[in-house]
Amino acid sequence: MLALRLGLHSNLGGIGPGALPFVIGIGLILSGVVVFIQTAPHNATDPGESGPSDNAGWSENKSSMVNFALIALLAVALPWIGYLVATTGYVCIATWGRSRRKILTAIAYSVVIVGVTYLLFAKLFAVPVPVGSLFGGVV
Amino acid sequence: MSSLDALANILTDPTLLLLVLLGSASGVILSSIPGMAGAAALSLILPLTFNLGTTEALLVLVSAYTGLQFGGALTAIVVNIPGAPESAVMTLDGYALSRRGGTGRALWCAIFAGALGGLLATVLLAAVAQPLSREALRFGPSDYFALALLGLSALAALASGSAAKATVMMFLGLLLGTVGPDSLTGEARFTFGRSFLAGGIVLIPMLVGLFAISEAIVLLQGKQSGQTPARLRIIHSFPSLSDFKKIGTFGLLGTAVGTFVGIKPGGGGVIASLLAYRAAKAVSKDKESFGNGAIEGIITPVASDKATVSSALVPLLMLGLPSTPSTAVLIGAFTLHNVVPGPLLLKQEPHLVYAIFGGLFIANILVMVVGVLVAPLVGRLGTMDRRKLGAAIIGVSVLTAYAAENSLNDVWLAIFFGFVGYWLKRYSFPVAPLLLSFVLGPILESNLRRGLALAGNSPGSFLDHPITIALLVVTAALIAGPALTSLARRHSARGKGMEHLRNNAKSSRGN
Repeated sequence: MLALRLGLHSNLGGIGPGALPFVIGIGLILSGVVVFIQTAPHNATDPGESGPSDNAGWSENKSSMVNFALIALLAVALPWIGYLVATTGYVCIATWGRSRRKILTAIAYSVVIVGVTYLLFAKLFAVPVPVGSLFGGVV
Repeated sequence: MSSLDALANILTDPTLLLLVLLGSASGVILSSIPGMAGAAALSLILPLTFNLGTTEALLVLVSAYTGLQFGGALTAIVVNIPGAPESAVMTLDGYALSRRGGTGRALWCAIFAGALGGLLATVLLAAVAQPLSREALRFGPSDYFALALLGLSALAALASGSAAKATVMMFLGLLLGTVGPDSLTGEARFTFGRSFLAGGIVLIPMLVGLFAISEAIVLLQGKQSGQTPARLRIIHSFPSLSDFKKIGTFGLLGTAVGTFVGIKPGGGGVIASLLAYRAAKAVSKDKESFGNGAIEGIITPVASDKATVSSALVPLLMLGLPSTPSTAVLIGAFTLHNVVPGPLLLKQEPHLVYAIFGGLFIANILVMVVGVLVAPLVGRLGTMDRRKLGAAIIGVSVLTAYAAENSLNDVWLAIFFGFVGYWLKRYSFPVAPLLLSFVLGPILESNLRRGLALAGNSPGSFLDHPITIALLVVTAALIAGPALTSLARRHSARGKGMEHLRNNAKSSRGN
């Protein structure tokens, strides 16, 4: 009964759809335990094994979270303002180094990069791109 | 139709020739960006092929695959930055020779060795295709199950770094592969009522996230590294006759290693180039020069690395099994064009298979030309502002994820996998086993269940098939081999330790 409920057996006999996920689950738990034991601070042989060190880790964590937040903003903006505007804005912000002179470089770089990408992919190879509801696209 | 006809066809069709050139050049250029190794770069080229015909699309991708496998070597030699993990070994002698003013000679030797490895392996691929395809037609579900199992066991056994972490990744990939409808009953698994998961996780956004976005995040955090090299002119540094002799002998050695390693499930350029380097050092008369700019230390791994491209296509085209992350991207391309790679491919689409062989052959020659022309540029790309490169890669990644199925959900899926991939890499979890087991899992499960259903649910019936038995024995050896070796090492170390203690005791008694 339990085997049928978990999908380990099929109603027609033989292996059911739940069998492989069940085996994978056990394998995942066992291998996870081995990794946990191996990477525990007193067992780690290589400094990279137990993950990034605290000092270097914090600034990297912050920077990666900011970068992911920017990408998430790009994904949120895509259905509204479309690929061209959203990606140009994203590339500009991501490459801007917070100095007045660099913003001009960042704007120029983002316009050129997104322009070339758009021409190559969307125009030359007819790859579909999100247009954005503000420009008549469908959300 | 034969490989030679296909070759002539491509050579006489300007469009096809241009597409092969586009693929080769984009491969060489993209792979010179640090971190943009095989699958990541190939996934960025993928959208260019969405609206092309099947043959044209696969020509672009196999040419790019050829170019990618070579471009990383250029930056390794010129600026000591390997464009891909498989190029890391090329920094040892390549950059050492470069620092002594031998950049041009090192690049020329790498270009010729790469072409030799690639061309010979392609000829071999074309030669084994027919007989292997005939053999593969005799494969039943139990044989495919055993093959997929072999591929999975090789992932953990051949993983560089922690085998336990590779195993966790393998199980995670298998679990992700079960999302969506069950292949036999159609029952939905792990979809959580989400319509976009009803058909399962889409391969392209997943690999864009795991490889391209996660790598772009690393680039976005980085600063410019290395010095921009001086203007490079390699045209005046043509190799000498003695260099050509070495290209012949050590290139052949590298090709043999690369072909053997590449054909195995889980084999890839990293293992091939390392093994080839060791083999070259073992047979070389001048072992001391290795690490100090030995030309053999450049020729052998480059030839080996290039040979893995064609040999990795053998299990993909003839059996439908990917053996490297890059061939998993090619599976995605085949799926997009409704082509199923496997034993029937050569029978049903001979023109496509021969076009791939022809394209590979031409791409190997074009990569030589492209290599010479873009060498000055790739050196500069390797030292370019990484934030600019990272932002541009995110822009193309978003486009790729969206364009695969015109879905914004896929963009979110790619971002999710980018996030997962980034953290996995930070904690040294290998991502390749996750992707490969994601592709191999459904093959394993459906063939196991089909095989059992055909045999009246008797698992013992699998042992009636000699191919299945042979494959299961190799799988068992792959799993047990490293464990037994490690046990034997521990035993011998303990034995030596005991002997040392006994000697110490004797000497103290003597005193």
